[in-house]
Amino acid sequence: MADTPDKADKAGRPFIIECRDVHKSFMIRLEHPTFGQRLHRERRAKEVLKGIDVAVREGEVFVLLGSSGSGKSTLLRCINHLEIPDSGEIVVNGREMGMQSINGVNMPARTSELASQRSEIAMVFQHFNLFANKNVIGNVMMPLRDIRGLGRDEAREAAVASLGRVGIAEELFNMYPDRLSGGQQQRVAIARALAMKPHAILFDEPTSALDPELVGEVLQVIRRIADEGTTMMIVTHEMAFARGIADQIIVMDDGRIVEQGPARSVFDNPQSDKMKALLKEI
Amino acid sequence: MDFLRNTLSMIPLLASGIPMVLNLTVYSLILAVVVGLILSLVRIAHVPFLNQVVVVIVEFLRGTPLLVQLVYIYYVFPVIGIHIDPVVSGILGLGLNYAAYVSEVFRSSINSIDRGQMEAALSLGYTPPRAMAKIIIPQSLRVSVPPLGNYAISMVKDTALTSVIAVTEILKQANVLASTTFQVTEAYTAAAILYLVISLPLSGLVKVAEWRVNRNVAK
Repeated sequence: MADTPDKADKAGRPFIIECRDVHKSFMIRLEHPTFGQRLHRERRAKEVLKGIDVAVREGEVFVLLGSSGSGKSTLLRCINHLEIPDSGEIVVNGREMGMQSINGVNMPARTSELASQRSEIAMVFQHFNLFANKNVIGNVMMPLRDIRGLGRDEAREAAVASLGRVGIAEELFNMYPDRLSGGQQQRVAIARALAMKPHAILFDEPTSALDPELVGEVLQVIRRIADEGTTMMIVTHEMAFARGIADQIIVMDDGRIVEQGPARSVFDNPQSDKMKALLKEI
Repeated sequence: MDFLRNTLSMIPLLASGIPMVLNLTVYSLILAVVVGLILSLVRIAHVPFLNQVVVVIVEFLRGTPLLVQLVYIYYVFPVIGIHIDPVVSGILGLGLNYAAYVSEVFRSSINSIDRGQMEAALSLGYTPPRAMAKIIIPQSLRVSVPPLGNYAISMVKDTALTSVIAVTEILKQANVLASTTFQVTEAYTAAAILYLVISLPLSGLVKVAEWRVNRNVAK
């Protein structure tokens, strides 16, 4: 896999996503019978992210590797504040997520401000999450009209262009999501994300729910839009794909980053036990 | 033959109660759907305090007989100085009682929508209320139409209860006819036929509505 020539040039570019010391815990309920058969209930916080620092520059592709439960998905969901981190800060294109300056005072963002911040980073989900009440073109057009404020014709034009980029044929435009294959649904979801012209796209295991024969078409689309210079963070278990597409690999284990570096060096010369173990599995 | 002829001859007399039955049904249903939706949203949004109030209201409305609620509104409210016209009392009683059931329909149908739909909407920049209005509620309607249709049909039949609070609908008219002509069987048979005449086409309408909301969905 040859490096694209511009990979080295990304070093001087501005940061798009910065995470500083991000922590996140979930409350979990434990129930177990104790001596005397009384049910013992306990609420305990499980720390899923234990201080994460990441900085992604414009046009860079970061791939997050690690076993399930290591916190990769939670990190992505924290970045666009689908989960609110307990502490630390997340800065997207210079704006701190979830914060808002009101009369010069930094305050938690209002819902409308948070929504507008979220619209700057798109997310592609494992289960596609296309709107079931909208057809293909409607799925891409609706947020353009509602969030970006485009008129019907402009939105349609942008949606058609975006669907073209992911190779969705015009015959499918009026179909509803449940008539499409998983691969087609995921490509529509990518088109919906692209059309918003976000600063970055977060991919949360984009091929994990697909039948094996449909994985290729989706990975190919992701690779193409990466080559076009889209900033992205990808959680995936597809090792060959990760190696081919990533500028930087992040390896997570138990809520911490245990290794980070350029794809080639992480794959060819893994430092952490976790990465060595992941490589052994393939 | 006399029985049949007498029964049929009573139908036009009782038919004057049909507009009242339809009025009661339509206005009560509108009230039930609007209030039901509000109640369900309060519960889904977990509005502190209000949430508990809604639970109490819903359990109260579902746990006491509709007939008792109607009588209460019409006969007990005047005692504390609130006088409400019989028809309005009927609409209030039917509407609020059904709102309790309708709110549970909405609540469960909204909860049945996959969480991913809300997450996708949020990630695209929708605020939670806007995502509800544009994505979640439209999808939940598909799930709520069949039970709502059933409630509409039983609403038609429950309007008969308002006869006890002096609303001149079909059953009240039948009472009057029965006591003036002494043709008890004929009067109430005619009333029963009239209710069927309203509720059977309504069942058809509900089927059409179900078909319409489902036509865009495979499976």
